[in-house]
Amino acid sequence: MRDSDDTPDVKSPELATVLRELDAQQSVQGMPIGARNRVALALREHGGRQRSAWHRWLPAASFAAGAALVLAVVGARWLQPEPSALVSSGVSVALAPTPTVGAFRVGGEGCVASGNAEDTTLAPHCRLEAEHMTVEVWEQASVRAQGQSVTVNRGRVLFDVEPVRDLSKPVAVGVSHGRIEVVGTRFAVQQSATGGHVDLLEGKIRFHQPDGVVVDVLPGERHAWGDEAVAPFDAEVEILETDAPHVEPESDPKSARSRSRRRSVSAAAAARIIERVTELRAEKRYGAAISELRRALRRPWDARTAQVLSYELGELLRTAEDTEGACQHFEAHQAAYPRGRYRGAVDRVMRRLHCD
Amino acid sequence: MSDSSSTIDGAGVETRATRAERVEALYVEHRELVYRLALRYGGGNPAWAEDLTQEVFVRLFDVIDDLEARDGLESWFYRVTSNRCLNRLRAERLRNSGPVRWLLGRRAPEPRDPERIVAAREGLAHAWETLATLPPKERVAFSMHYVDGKKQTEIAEILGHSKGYVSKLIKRAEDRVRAQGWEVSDA
Repeated sequence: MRDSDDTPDVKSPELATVLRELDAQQSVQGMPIGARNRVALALREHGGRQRSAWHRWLPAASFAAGAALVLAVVGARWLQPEPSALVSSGVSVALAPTPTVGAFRVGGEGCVASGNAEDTTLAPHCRLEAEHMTVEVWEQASVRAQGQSVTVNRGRVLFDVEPVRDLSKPVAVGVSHGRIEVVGTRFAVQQSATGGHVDLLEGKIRFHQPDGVVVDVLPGERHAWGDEAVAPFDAEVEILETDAPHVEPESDPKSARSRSRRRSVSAAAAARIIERVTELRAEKRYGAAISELRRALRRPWDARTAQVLSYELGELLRTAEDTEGACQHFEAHQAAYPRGRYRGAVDRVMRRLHCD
Repeated sequence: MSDSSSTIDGAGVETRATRAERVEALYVEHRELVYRLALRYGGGNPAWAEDLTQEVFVRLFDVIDDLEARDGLESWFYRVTSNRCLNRLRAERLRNSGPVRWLLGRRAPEPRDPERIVAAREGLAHAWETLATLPPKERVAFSMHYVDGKKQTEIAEILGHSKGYVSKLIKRAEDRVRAQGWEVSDA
């Protein structure tokens, strides 16, 4: 190598000469004025953001705060007792940010959960999540989760159950007057102290009564128990009421099959809408959810589905604290479905809202 | 770290210059050097040089309180600009490599600026084009040595490599330049 000593060893190769000439030309021309101004402006903007030392340390502080938060969460998780300890304690405790109840994780935006595994109280928007099932709370609910099973003690919840591969081991959901056997479906359960009902949105469920009677529930159908079963919703009466001009006698099997198929299609479409509305509701986008339901209600539905959607709309208006709108809607709902399935529930809600 | 510096002017009145004002003053003083180096290493691409100039002076905000002697500022700008250029060229080279292009779904390198192509045909700018064909480290080491007259020990210090490695870089660059029909000879 030619240049290995400490003396400046400037050579003049042709390329270097040309490059130096270019440098010299550039020195004369200077930085283009546009570029000069753009960089100056960018520096001024950057300087404005750098006014305080605090801002300069903001990224580092944010990183440190994030790291501390992660450590705190990991530490809390590490120190948190096992779910079994929660069960055995029997003491009312406020659940940690990511607690578990049985095999379920408790989640959901703004979820407030309390109690023990025998009786966990979940606020609206809470979710119980496991690989085989998601339970979404629509109204404050009290549930018991044991292993993979859930019993609804009180409240209104939506179940979304993954298809069960081993049909001999269906998922079971307990309620006050029996057990719901599920092989993959979506359904909503409402349970009060003395009774309740299940609305099947899609799939198939079986309701096992304590006396051994098993009732198949089809999409769009409701099965009630306890005091709700005392004055049960009379499906046939309702259908005759609303579909009377178009309905052929039930004795015509073709017509019955056609109506059943129509109902299934209708229930599937409604399930999609309810799914969308549930998402919006979980995101607390009540306005969008209400618009979605209003749009949906303009479409023709069978009477059962229309009622489900209409009731949902009323509930959403109530949740969105549009009391006047909810009252008006529920009033219209009762007028449209005087013997409808939600009659009792709507009456109760209207009383609570002082709609009179 | 303070946000402003206090100085006593000729009348004995204390004036406070914010960091932004100090950076702006240094920008006016040193922008030509930075831009010129960036233009050279960027193969004569003005947009590239402008971006890099901005990068260098934004960096200045973080270190201006630690830069004490103004005498050393020119060498600081030289060092930082050269290294920034090198880093950027290496990153671009990686992005334009075949596997990365394939991963990113880019079919071909970005087309060259038409103005640069025209300028290259006109003569002098062809030198930038030749320089741009060299791998980043060789490009910077060659330029520092032959154009800026830096000693190999200085180059090694600026780039953070050994003198032997710098010597190899320069040698390889010389071979590549000669292969393109340029003279690289002693003065």
